[in-house]
Amino acid sequence: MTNSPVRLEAVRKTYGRGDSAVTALDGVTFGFPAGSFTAVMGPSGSGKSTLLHCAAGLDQPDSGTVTLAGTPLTGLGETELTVLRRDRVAFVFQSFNLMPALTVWENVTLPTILAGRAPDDAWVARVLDRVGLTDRTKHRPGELSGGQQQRVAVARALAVRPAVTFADEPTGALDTQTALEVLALLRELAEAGQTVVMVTHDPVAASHADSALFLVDGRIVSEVDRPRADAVAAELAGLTGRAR
Amino acid sequence: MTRLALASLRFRAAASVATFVAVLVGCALLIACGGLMESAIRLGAVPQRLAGAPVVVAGSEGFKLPDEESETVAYPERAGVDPSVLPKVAATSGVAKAVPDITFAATIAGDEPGTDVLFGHNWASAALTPFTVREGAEPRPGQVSLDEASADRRGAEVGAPIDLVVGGRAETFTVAGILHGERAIDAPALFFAEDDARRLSPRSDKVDAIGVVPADGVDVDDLAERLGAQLSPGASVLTGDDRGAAEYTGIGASRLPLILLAAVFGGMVLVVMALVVSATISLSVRQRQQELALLRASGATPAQAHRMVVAETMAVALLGAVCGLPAGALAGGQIFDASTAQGVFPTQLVFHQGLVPFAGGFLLALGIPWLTAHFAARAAARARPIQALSEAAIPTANLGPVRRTLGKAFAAATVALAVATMFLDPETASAVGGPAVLTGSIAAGLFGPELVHVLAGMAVPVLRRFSGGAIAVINIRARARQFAAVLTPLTLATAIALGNIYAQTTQSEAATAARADELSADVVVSSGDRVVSPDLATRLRGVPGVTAVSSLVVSKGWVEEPYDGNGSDPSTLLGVDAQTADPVLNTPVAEGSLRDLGGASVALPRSEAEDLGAGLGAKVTLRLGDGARVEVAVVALLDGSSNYPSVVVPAALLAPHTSTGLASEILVRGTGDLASGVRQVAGPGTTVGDGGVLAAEFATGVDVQAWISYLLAVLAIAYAAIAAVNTLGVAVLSRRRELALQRLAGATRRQVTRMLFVEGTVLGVLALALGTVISLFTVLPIAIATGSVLPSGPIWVFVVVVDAAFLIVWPVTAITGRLAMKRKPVDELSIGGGQ
Repeated sequence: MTNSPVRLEAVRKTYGRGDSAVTALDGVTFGFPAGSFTAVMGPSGSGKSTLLHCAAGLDQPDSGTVTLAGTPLTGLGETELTVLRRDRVAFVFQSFNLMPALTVWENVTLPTILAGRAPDDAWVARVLDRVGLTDRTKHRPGELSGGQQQRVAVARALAVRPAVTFADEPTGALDTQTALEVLALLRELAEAGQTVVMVTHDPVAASHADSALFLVDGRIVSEVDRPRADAVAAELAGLTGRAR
Repeated sequence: MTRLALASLRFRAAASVATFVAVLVGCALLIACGGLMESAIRLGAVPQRLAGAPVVVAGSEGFKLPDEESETVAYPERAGVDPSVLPKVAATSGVAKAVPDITFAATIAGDEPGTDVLFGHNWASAALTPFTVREGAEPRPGQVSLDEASADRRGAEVGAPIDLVVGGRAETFTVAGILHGERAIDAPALFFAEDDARRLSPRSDKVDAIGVVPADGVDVDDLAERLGAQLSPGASVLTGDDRGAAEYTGIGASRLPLILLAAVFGGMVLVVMALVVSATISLSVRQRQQELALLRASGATPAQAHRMVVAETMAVALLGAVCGLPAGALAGGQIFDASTAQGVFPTQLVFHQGLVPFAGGFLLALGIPWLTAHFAARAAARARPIQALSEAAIPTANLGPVRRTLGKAFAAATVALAVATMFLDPETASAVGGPAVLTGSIAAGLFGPELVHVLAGMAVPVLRRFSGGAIAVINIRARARQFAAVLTPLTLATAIALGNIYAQTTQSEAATAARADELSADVVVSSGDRVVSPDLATRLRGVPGVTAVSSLVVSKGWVEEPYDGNGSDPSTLLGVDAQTADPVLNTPVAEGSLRDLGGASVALPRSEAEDLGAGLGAKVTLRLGDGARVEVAVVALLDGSSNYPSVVVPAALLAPHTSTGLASEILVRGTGDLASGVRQVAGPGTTVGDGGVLAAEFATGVDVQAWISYLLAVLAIAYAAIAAVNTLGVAVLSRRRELALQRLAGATRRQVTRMLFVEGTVLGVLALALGTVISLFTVLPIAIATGSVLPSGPIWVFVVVVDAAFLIVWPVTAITGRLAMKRKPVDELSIGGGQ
């Protein structure tokens, strides 16, 4: 656990104030092992998205510390956080993944260009080939299907070779077949040595991960290794009953 | 970042149209202002009649202000050259010929009123054009030679008699010859024998100019420099297009109004451009929160997001500024031509628009958007990457601390300008009071979102009664930032239009009323060329019923010792006949008596006399309109209530120091039916009217100044209106998704359209209300400064502005609303979050 690119220690996060306050994370401590593919699951409002936001440095916890790729995030400014994320982290979201004005190629190389480095063209070409978009490099996101857009997002995560990839419901808007392709790609990221953290509510998606982490009311309640879809579904059904 | 910015621009060109248009028009207008400024500095006028003289020696350049290092103000009246200068010029090495020029107005009896005033000259000066004899001979005493055009038009023949009126006196001459000019000349010319010319000229002791022809091989500039060193400061030495100032009247006096026009208008353009660009940026940033957040999530630092928005704006601004260059070449000439056609400037004045106006306009048109973009794009830097993961939250109407501080600063500046204006001279008030409209509009723009939130809230009770009203108000309050971007240009247009025009009308009416109140006459005798015969006053005294007759001379000048500090804005000098000053002058006398107003004397307004420390009996030195200095004794102190007090001197003292050398009107007081009796005595060529003539004549002069204000207002309104159309259009189009959602939720197209109309109407009313309030910060202080307290002016201006606001809002809402709902709601939503 010490060799963990993403560590949360006693992380608490509350939204709102007074009577309407909602505790999204209630003292979460967890380390995602290097090279692992972890699914974070839980019913709506369990805090799984907040966990991802805090772990990725997109949101600041009220208390506790998050260590990302060896750097404690506490006290970092917006620019320092951005630079850290740019070099060490990639994101795959449910939608709104890509800059609409940029082509596929430009979207994939965007983080590298923002970092002021020249993109490794040969590598980018290989990555795009791997996700099956070699003939789409000059297209804009609007001209692609949902599945293709999501594959561009994965290609971007591959191209940057970050320490961690965070995925927020990456298959949420996709049909079953396309979803399976995207999950296989995420699996490959982990096998290439990246740490993948995926928030999902889909037991089938979770079954592609090394382990599944279950959250209820902002607390980690269980962890399942080598999760199978039916087992995850059963676990979730039980948790949903327990929630609230 | 530049590549990213360009890619982003190509993708959403429509949203940048407002910036493009604002910078294009702004650049063009700034170049035009630069051209007006350059024309004012050069004051070039191509000489016609004096074109044959490469160097022209003319009167002094102007009054060198005692309290300024280098500022010189052109004399309001024609200043001649002392004849003693002529031998000095002739004796200067390199001068082949030095020819005196005498110029005076003359009319041919029998010409219809309104025909061109002719100018009489001495025969020697015919060589300066040159004119050659086509028919007949050179004029001898009692004879006159005409240029071809004048002769042909009137069918004049050599040897025939011709009746001329010069200085209000008719005289018969014989046509000696018909002259052919080397070049075309706008002003018809008559040539007299030297002695006749000297006798007829109102400045018999002076010549108007000296034309110098250099000897062969002498460099014109070298010669001019030598002459200048020898004659300065009593006379000015002119070459090239500067010579026009000696030939035409009003060239030197054009400088100040031209510079003012250029500066005031330039300032207005800068503010409009800044407000439009910042409104466009905040609209586009607001529209793209999600995309900017995604960019941030992709690894762009806040500074990079900021740079991207600035780079986008600058790319558009660059394009706009480049397109503005040719437009500027057109606009400058157009504005100048329109102004000269209205008589604001002499037609002979040459419009100069060199490299400097183009470079300056171009750089300003880029610099202002750059500054504005830096400020407005801070919202882009605030985009948080987490927003990329969720539906964009609608930003609150709350302002950031920097924006709030800036807003307060501009609001404070507006109040300070307004307060300062109240205590100023009415004639300088508008220069200080005018900018209050601009600072007020900037403050309103900065506080925009909060103002929209609060004011729209106040409209709720009224709007509840209309269908769609309640939801419109909810929309406006929730999207306060977006609506503030639309509100700003509309408010600005309203404020500029109302502020400028009503400030002008208020000032014009106060000035006209003040002048008309100052004098009273039952009958006024005037003439087309604004001179009346010197002996007419005496002859009118015999008319039955007449109790008092006075000549009236109006000029401008300064009290030089002790200096009154009026600088570029000299006092009005009124010349009236000493013995009859009392009946025609309405201003109450506080001390002394107007009966003593004779010889070298003056009646000063009491407040001015106190400022100067010059009591009754003190000696002060006046600098008259033609540059002459006269020492006068203070014989009376006037206690006028007017805010435009005149300095009163004897007409006989003032008249010789005006361009015409004569009184312009005769004022008659008396009882019974005076007019017919006066008309009989006054004879042909004169106009006899009642006291209203004075106010009417003065109002014509004021109207020319007012015309500049109207021109500025119209241009500024058009500019702000273009901006308003753009921002309004973009704002409606950017809500496609929201409108589609409403329609899916069961709203009919008609209901959505009605909601948009109510929103637009609320915005229009808010803009009009805010604009009116802002304009009051200019208009009210100017009204107070002029002493009229309440603003005056035609109500139709307000009605037109109100109509114009809704003529912008409603059609644009209708067209863009239609466009925004063109696609089926389901199709609109399936396009995704990108737009």
